[in-house]
Amino acid sequence: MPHAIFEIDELVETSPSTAVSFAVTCRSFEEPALRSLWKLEVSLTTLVRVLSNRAWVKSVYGFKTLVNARNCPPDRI
Amino acid sequence: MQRYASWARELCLGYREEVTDDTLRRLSSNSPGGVLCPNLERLHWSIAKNTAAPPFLRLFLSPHLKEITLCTSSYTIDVPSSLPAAAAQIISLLPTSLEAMSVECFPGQDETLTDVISSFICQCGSSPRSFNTRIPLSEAAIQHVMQLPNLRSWTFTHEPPQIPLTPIFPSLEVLDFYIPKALPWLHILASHQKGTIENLEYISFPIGTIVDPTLLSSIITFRNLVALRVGSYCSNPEGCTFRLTDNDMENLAAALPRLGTLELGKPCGFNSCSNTVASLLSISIHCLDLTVLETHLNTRTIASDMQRLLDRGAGCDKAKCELSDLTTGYFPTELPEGDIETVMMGFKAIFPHLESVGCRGFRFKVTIHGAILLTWHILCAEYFYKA
Repeated sequence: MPHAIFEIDELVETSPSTAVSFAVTCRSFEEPALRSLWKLEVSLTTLVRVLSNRAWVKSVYGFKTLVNARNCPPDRI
Repeated sequence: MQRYASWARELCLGYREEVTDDTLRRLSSNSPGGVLCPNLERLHWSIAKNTAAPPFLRLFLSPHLKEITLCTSSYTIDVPSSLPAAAAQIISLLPTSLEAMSVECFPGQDETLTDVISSFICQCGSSPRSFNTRIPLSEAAIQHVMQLPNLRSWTFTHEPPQIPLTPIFPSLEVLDFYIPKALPWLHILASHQKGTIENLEYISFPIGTIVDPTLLSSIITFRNLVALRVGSYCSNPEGCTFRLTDNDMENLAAALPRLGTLELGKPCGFNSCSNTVASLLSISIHCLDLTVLETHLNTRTIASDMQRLLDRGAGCDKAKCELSDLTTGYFPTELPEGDIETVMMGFKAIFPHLESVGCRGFRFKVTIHGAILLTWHILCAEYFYKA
């Protein structure tokens, strides 16, 4: 039975790097820490990049990134 | 991916990436209900060149969506011809139950979106809490907004319509004037006995606002103001835009004791305004929670004004304002050393917690050595000496 402190989500409401540290430190922290980490997405690219490497190609023109899910199996989306 | 997407509460689209339609199509066909981020609450959508095509906006329209920000970019294709069409497509997909909506346009694009945005506003029910757009709206849209029961924040970009104005903004807390032409709204809001007059906490005035007794007479009716900001700056040939006296400033401070932020226009170097250090004392006595103060101040006789204030001690014992940083206009650096010490002591008597004073071109610290000895340091000496 985990201590009640592990169920306090506010503990992991922190900077992205600290949230990652929380997520890999303890299983009880993993879900709330990742939830906190992914709460704000500044780009759709971040989401697409969790797909298989074959699913997207990156081409940098200045700040632009092209992504393509053409090669991704539907069940991986 | 769906696991991660389900965690997203806020998403910015079109700012940094180019996502191909093919990618979006795949995501759309493989997301349950065609929604990629089912728990999304806030969406920022940039209508920019090659950004995701409007039909795929459905991917992000979660049932929990409360806020949306639409932006155009300077390089939006075929401006202005395609912009209204793209915006209309997007708007037609938005739920009318949104609580907050912002539309940010580049200059020259605003008026092309009037019909689209006005039409959407008229369709919204009573849910909106915030509409912030500088796009001119139709009279019907303004009428609708004025009566929204939950609206807390609104940007005034128009003159009031020539129609009866009741009821009017029953819950407004944040009032942002974008152009001086919209200022007649202030007098209308101030003349109503309920609603805005009780709820308003924040007012922002635009560049070009003249701070005079007429403006003041309306402002002081909003007794619960926490922040008052004027964006004016002074320039030739108009000269100083600040026209309040010490008495006016005392009225302002006495009427608005909850003020935490008071910015009365960018202090200038004309040094032609009529208010003196006595106005600072009024503010310190009445506005105990003040943490930000930016004001014009006539410093031509600041040393003797401060000396008189210190000699009489009038009111200084009641000055308990929390202010630590003051920003004001011209400071006469040619004062003799003894006068500078008097001025520093005066500042410290008016604002007991004062640590620094920012003047035109430089900022100096007010410090205590021993009991009351005050010194000053020019922190931006390079600028100062060049001037």
